[in-house]
Amino acid sequence: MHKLLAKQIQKARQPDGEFNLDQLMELVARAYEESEQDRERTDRSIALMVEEIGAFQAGLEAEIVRRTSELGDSRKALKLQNKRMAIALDSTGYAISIFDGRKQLVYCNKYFLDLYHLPRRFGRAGTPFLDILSARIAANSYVGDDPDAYYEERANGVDRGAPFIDIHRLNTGEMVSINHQPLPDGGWVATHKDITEFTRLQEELAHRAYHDALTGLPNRHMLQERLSQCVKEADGLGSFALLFIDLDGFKSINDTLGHSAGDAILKEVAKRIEKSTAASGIAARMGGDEFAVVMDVGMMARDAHMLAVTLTDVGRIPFVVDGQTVDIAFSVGVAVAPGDGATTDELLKNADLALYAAKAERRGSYRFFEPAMDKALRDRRRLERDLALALERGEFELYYQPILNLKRQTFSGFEALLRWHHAEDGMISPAHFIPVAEETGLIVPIGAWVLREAINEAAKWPRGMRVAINVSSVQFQRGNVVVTIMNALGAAGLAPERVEIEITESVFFENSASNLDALRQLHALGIKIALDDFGTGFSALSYLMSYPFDKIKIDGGFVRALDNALGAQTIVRAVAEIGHGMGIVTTAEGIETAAQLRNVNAAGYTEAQGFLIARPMPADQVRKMLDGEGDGMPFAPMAQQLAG
Amino acid sequence: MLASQAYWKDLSGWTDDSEQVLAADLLLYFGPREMLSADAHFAALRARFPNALIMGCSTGGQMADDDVSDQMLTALALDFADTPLRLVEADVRDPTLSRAAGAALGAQLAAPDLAGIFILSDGLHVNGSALVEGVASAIGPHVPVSGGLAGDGAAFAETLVACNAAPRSGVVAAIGFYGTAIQFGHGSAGGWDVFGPKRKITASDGNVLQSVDGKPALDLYKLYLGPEDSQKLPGSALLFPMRISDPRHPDQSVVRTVLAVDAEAGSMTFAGDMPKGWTAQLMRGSFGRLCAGAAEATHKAAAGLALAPHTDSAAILVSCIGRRLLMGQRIDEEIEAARAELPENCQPIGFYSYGEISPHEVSGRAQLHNQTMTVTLMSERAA
Repeated sequence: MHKLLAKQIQKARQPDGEFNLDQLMELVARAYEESEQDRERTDRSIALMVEEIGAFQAGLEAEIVRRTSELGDSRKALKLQNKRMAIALDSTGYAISIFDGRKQLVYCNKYFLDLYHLPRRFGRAGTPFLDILSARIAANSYVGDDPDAYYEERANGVDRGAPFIDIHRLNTGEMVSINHQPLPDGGWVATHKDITEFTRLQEELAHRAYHDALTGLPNRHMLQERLSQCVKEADGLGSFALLFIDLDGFKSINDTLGHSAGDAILKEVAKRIEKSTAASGIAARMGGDEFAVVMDVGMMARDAHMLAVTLTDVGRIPFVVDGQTVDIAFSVGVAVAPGDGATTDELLKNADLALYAAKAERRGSYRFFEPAMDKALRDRRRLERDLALALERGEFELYYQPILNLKRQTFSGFEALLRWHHAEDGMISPAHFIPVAEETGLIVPIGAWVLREAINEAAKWPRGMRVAINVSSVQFQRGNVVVTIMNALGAAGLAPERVEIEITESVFFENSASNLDALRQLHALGIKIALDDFGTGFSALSYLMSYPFDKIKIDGGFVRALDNALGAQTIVRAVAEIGHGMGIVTTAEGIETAAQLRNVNAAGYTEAQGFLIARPMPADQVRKMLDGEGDGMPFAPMAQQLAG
Repeated sequence: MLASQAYWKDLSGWTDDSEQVLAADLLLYFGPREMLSADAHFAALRARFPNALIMGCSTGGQMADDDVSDQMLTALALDFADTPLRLVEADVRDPTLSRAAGAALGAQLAAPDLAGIFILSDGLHVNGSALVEGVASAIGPHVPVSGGLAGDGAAFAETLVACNAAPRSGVVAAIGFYGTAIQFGHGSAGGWDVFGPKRKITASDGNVLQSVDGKPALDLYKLYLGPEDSQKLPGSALLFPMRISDPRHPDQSVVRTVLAVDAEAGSMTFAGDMPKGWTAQLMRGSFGRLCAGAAEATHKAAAGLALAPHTDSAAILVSCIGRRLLMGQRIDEEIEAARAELPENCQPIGFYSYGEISPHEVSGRAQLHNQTMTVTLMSERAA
């Protein structure tokens, strides 16, 4: 009997032992019902579950289809992306290789294979690094002549675990820079750059940076480096020398023969200097026509002396350019370490001072540095500085020296002469400061002041009195003389005919064409042009033909020489005759004695100037002298002097 | 420890075997809600056991011998030789305060020599898992906690709990056992089988489950229950408990049973938390497997206690109302199976609940269970 039925029977049994049949029936019926319900529930659950699982499975299948299609799409996208990446990486100009922790190739671009001359198949992912290394050795795209050593070195090199940059010169000729970056998995990314051309350019640039393009000699930078090296090497004890070489007369070559001729000469100069110094040091071109030599440590003063002599000697050998012989010379300044300086700066400065002294002495000479040169330079600097301030400080004054007309025995005018009253040093000689003013260019404003001042003063003189004003060739080159004079004339209301410009032959040395043009303009205005200091310098007679001077002034040196030099008389007379022959006024300067005066008078000079006649005097004294006198003020002592 | 059972079938009074239990320290009693709401019964019990702490609750049926009764009270009187007791209570009218209520109870009972806690809680106004967590948070994880949620047959209308006073709704009673003499054995087992696909909890709020796989939870249940059983919700939902697990710890699953439904919102209230993102799978029972589960629960409890022969002991069996609903008349078989595994000299008492409390088999941490047979076995060591 079923356990449940037994229980139901037990429950239906009443205390008196009788069955309650109704109760039993109800229990049994309920049991059937419960059983039915349970079965229904179970069936329903199973059906639903099947349905749900079916739906779930369909969902899964759909998902698989979707994912598969997605995967296909992303594969395509990935492929495209990889292609893009490969093109991008190829166009970087870098060879790129990526290896994994097992030292197997993950990726390399085409350029990587090209750079190392590797066959295509070595670009496959998974290729072992050591295989690629072997292939490079086979292709000779490795470094050095020991393939085994290179193999070892590289095989271990990639294990350093830290980033590094190596530069290799491959046996195939390429210079390659390798940037190695380790990856967390033990692999690495290496970017390789062919720097062959870059390296060549770099070397060329380095050469250019340290060499002079024209002569091929080391340049100023390299010389300074060499000098620093020597200073270090000598350590304050060893001896070595620095020589500065400057070409005398080079500037006029550039002007007269042109720059290509100048360049040809510089090249030749470089050759000669280099040849002379090859055994003892290095030669360099410092710029322009300046050269220098650093003699090696161990070279003594006598070695420097010998070299200086050699250099001045080779400088004297004539240079021939385009069939023309050119005359230049080498001036040399020498500073010897350690005596003349322990630092590069000191040596450079002192060699320069010595050169300056040599140039001041005479063409083609050499000088060793002396401490006094330093003082001379300082004095010069001070002079330059004070000169620059003199104008605004009002330290300049014009003196006027009378010019005597020998025929009429009257004064025809005055030569304006510049005087400088230095606040501390008193009167400074024009011979001292004019060259400095010319070199520094200060002559331009000073000369303009002189022109304005002299023209202004002359306007106060009687109408027959002319003023003679010295104009430097530098003023012609760097100032606008014509405009300055015209403005001054306009401002003072002075007739141009009363102004005489005294120039020297140097006006014809540089920019002669434009200078001549300026002279013609002045002449056209009515201004007289005088050639000063005639007979000194080159005194080429051709100048007299190239420009129609109104006057020639023979240099005072010849006049002074009349007393004791025999030839002087001939020259003085010849000049007078030239003037006479060409119809040009002649003036004799520097008359100090009655004999000289008689002499020039006899020679037929038109005019004379000198202490004997009258010293230069301040403006107010001139005015006093002229006061009350009309044109052609008579010179009283003249007859007496001539008679004397 | 002396234990004695008593039954109150009708007004004719109690039937019991011994006068000794009159001196009992603790009286546990269970009965249908209608009988418990009559205060007279509590007064009678109080008169009969003047020194005892009395705790009890309404149920979904009482176990009486090998049968289930819906028409009588059952009581178990316990007299301890060397075990101090403390009975405390807390109100739970708002499920969201369940954890706080649990923590308050735990704090009142906590002591260094606290050996175990047994809880009877309101079965409808509580989030059982939160309540248990609250208790554990106050006493630590090593003190065993067991008990059950009060029932109301298949009505789900009101549940009552007595805590040394006439039974009331919205009450949690907890008794603490102290000292080293008392020892416990615990066992809990279901015997339900999962079926159907694994689902995902997509929306929930505490113990209110809103949607599963993006669909209203109630729709799923209605589908499986069919039109006829759907009329009997929420009780009929007990036929399909739900096994849930944290996807990160799929081996630590718990079974949840339905307490209430909200037809309008399509949501269902469970006896414990239904965390969003957890995996959920429906379960169904078969008579044989449920009986085997009941036997396993008792077996585990007995194995945990390992009593010497002839030692007196008592067992409190708390089984889920869902099991009774499914098994119908054959529910006897479950009780028989469970009782067969009890040690000798063991006095059992038991009831059908809306939720069971028992330590987790592996972690030992107190947990709310559903759809299980849960057995608390206790005994005192000889002095």
